[in-house]
Amino acid sequence: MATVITRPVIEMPPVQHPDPSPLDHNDLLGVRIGEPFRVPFLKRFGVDTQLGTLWLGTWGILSVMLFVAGLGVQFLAGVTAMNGDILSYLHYFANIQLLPPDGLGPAKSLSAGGFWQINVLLWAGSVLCWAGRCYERLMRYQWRPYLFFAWLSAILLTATIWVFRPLLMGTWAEAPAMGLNGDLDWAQNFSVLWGNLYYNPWHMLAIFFLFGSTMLWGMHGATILATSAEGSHHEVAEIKDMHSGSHKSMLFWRWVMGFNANPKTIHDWIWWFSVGVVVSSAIGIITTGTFVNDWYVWGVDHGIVAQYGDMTRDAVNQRPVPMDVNVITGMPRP
Amino acid sequence: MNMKRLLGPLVIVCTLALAGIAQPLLDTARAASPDKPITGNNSPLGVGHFDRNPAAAEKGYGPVDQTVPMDFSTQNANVPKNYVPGKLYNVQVLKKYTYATLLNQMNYYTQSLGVQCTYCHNVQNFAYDTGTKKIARTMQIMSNEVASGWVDPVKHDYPNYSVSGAVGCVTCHRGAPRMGVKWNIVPVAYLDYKAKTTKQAGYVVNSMYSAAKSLGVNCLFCHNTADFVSLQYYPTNKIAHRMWAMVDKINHEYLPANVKAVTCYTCHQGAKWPQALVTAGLDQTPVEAHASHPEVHENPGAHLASGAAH
Repeated sequence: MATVITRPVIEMPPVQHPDPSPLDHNDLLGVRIGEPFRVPFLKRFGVDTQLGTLWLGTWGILSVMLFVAGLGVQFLAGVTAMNGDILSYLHYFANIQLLPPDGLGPAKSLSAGGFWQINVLLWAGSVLCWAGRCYERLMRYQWRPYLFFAWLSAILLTATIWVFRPLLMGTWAEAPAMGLNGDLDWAQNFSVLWGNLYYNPWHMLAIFFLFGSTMLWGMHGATILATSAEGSHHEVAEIKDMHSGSHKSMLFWRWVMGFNANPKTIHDWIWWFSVGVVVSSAIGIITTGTFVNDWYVWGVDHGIVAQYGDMTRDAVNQRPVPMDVNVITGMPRP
Repeated sequence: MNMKRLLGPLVIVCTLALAGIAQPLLDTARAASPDKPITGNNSPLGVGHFDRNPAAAEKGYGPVDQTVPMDFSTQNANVPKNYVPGKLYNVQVLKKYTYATLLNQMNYYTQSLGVQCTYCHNVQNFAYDTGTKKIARTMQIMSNEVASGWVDPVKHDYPNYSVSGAVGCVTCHRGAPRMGVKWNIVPVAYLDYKAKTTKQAGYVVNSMYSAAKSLGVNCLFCHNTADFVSLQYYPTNKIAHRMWAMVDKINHEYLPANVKAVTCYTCHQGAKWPQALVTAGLDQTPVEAHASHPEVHENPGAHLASGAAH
């Protein structure tokens, strides 16, 4: 069947590949489970249709168990907050949040931050175990740990938001609440309290990397799909040959913009841009409130804010506006 | 025909059907117990409808039971045991009224709240103080305080933002003795940078949304959104801060201890200025509210662009 992606999907029985690494047998849970089969509808979209087999492994089992336990705690805490009323839980599902406790110590009770602390531990353990699973597979193949460090950088941003910055600020109340709206509300409240985050230069850099990586993905994906008619998806053989799809792809970009990546370096570009998003985000988060109190005022001080009129003068009574105190109450800013 | 082809449409139809069944079920279940209190909100503020107990709020409310015999040991000395119609006894707040104008005022109360005399009075003895009557007296004191202490000073300080008409009973009650609660707000102290953490800022931000929805405006009506916290130039911001303090005072000084239910919505009900305003003074006839300078309500930050003083 013709789709927008006119790549042929080869019809063949599902394959049980041989075990790639005899080292797998060292792990108690290092077994593959399930019989491979083909998912019926996926073929229409031109993607691979085989599901299974799945490699278990101690880290993977631990990760899934911790994650599911966290989901259970989340559900339990939500229902508890609604006095055990499941209908209320469903009705307020999007708005139910497990708020973090105040201060750095253990929470006074489960509902006053205890559930939140338990879930932080469970889900931190879950993502770290998943990193362990990732690292284990890479080491069994004796690959370079690019994937492991990419996942670690994602953990770095999350841990900065949830753990490192609250530790520096001296209260868990700086961390987001858990729930469907928790992250969204945190992003809003964080930006309101600590100045406009759009004036945070690390936020700017993160957006540059984010949009840049989507652009690179668009260029790369479009190039490979466009030349797949010439066989460019057979990358290994293609790289060596003249006038192949991959070779023509490189010529295309060199002629269009004077520079090109090759089938290896395009993945360097994309990897570093993707990691750059989370790393610069983490730097922007960790500096907020610790080194910079208000990013808008920081922008005023460093000349990146456009000044409309005399912003240092109160338009009502024409008195100077002190930038470090509340205009209304005269109290100092936090 | 391959039966697997039916699987996708079947999933879609079943999902829609489930959604269609679940929502009426939810609505029915909630309608069956509308006043069921939802506690467990671990907000330290203790305000808003999440923490209210309808059963406790029920005490001292509702029409006076006329069959209960009067107990004069609980009454002050001005309450006569032999009540004579046509004379004034035990008038503590509405002292400037004559008998005729007082009747007019009472008539205004009944229309504003949609009740009869029996809602507050024991009709055998109109001077007798009932629980509801004491609340009504407190409300009249509060209404005077709102007008003279809060609304009039704002009108004086910000004449361009003033609106015709005065606040009366009907402004909040709108023909019902008890008002529904809509959205909750934090105490005014939290606006004065008591929010030290992102979590506390969340309480303020949620309150700002309820205030904005109550007035039918967005953030830009009162804030320079480039920096919500430190750059507050707008007169609307300062007016809102005063109104917020007024709401705080109403909740903490005039309402019963277990009812802290007044929010921006109580008066504004979705409009920039309350629609059910009245003429000031004895004859509180409802008037159509209109602003003296509607253009400043449309663009409260215009003076910033022009650089002109307010």
